[in-house]
Amino acid sequence: MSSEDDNSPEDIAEDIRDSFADEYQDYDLDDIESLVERFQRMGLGNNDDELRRAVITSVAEDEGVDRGTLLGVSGENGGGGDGSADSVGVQAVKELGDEQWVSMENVKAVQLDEHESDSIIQTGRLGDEDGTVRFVAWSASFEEAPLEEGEVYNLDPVVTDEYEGRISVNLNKTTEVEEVDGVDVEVGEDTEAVEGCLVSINRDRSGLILRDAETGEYVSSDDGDTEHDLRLMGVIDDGTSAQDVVIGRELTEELTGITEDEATEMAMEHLDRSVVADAMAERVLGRYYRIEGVKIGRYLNADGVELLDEAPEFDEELLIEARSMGQ
Amino acid sequence: MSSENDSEVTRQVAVRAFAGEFEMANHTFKESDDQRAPRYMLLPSGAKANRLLIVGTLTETEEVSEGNWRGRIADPTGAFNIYAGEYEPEAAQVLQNASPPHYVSVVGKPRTFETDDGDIRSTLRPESIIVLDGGQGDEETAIETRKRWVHETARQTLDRLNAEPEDVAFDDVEDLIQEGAFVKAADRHYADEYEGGSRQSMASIVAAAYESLDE
Repeated sequence: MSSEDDNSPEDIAEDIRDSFADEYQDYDLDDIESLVERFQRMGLGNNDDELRRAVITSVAEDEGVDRGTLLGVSGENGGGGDGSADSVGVQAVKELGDEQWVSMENVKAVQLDEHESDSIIQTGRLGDEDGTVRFVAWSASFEEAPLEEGEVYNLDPVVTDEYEGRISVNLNKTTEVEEVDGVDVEVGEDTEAVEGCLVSINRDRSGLILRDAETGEYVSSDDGDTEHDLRLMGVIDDGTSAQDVVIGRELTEELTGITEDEATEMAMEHLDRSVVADAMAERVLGRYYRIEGVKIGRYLNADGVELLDEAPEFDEELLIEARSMGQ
Repeated sequence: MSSENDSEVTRQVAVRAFAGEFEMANHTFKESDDQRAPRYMLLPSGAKANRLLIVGTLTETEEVSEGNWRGRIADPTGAFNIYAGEYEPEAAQVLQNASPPHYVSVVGKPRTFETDDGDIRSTLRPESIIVLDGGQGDEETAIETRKRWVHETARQTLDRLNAEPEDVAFDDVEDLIQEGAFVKAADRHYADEYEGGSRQSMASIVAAAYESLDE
């Protein structure tokens, strides 16, 4: 999604302001930045989507408009007027509030599921290059499932629905479903980030590991035709939740300072592959990291890892809060 | 040996708590009679903890008996005592080889034991001990890691203290625990140990710890 350098509060603030409609582009950047910092302190620092939403909501409240207006994608009138709602992408949809009427162009239908209940005829995800958003098509509005897996559509309008802070879009009676031919859309991966302490390394499955030479799958012993790989499997813990993470060869080398050649040498010297996992664990366990990646099952597959080697700034308000409670 | 990741269906989170709080903690419990059910510590700030993460300064090590090692890890509010023996061979070896002082990062399971005087004391059985400043150029990162832990532990302890007491009518600590009412259970259990209430004492501990970061 982004390189590590994009993560300063100022960069995030600028990025958020860029998503505002033209008439809100002169909104004070320092104000947005302090909102970013405030929500980071409040625990949203490792949750980009929620952080952005929270900041946008605050600015919208400050301006006395709804989020759609602030972002210039839709009004309260639900795309009335010329009969066509403004077109937005997946990322922008996720930043809208509840019940916003918008249109989506060139979105690909993926992960389709039919009728999960009597009232729902089809669910799935709509994807563009920024990722995916869940959609729901209601039985009351469609006689049969409206979308086909892998096809690209223009949908006008769809209505956003917010449930427990997550946005999905509803396809209803008024939604025109237009299949777009001759266009393919590369669906971006939904990246997530976690920040916390690396509290555990799965020694058996980390370090110098073996993969089946043909399938590339992890194997525990080298009975057949195998090849070496480097990897770390561990747990990032932020004190309130624990996330399994998998870190591939390149990032593992970078993080531990142990290359595959060195690892192979170590293993041969000791006639034991487990020394590699032990040496790696010693270098990475107990430190704090920010890991970005794609969630596959319960694992976050890292595509970026940053050692958090600077403590957060001193928070005067935290001290005041503690002192006032302690009296 | 089976890996710990696979043996736990939902991994228990590593709670952050200061030594000042942990020293006061003296009550552990299980939520079911199953022998393999996880054991939890009832924290005075009003939460349960099956696992703790601490980052602090290893100030003492001692072989208390053949192969059994004790380590003392200080934070701005007090000290944790950890014990590692034959079931924690790696941790025991780290304690054996370490020459204090060192910055260390420890993940462990809270336990209690009874002293000869009949006092109940809290202790930590380490899953891992990592010396953070063992290598060249590691000291800066170690210092910042310790600060980050103090920052995070202060924040999370305050969050626990800010939680509303649960709306349940039980009086008995065990009943409250079984209902998941840890705020009330802690208030009740630790009421006698603190003048002016446990929450106030905990908040003072947090303030003292956090002040130490202000340079």
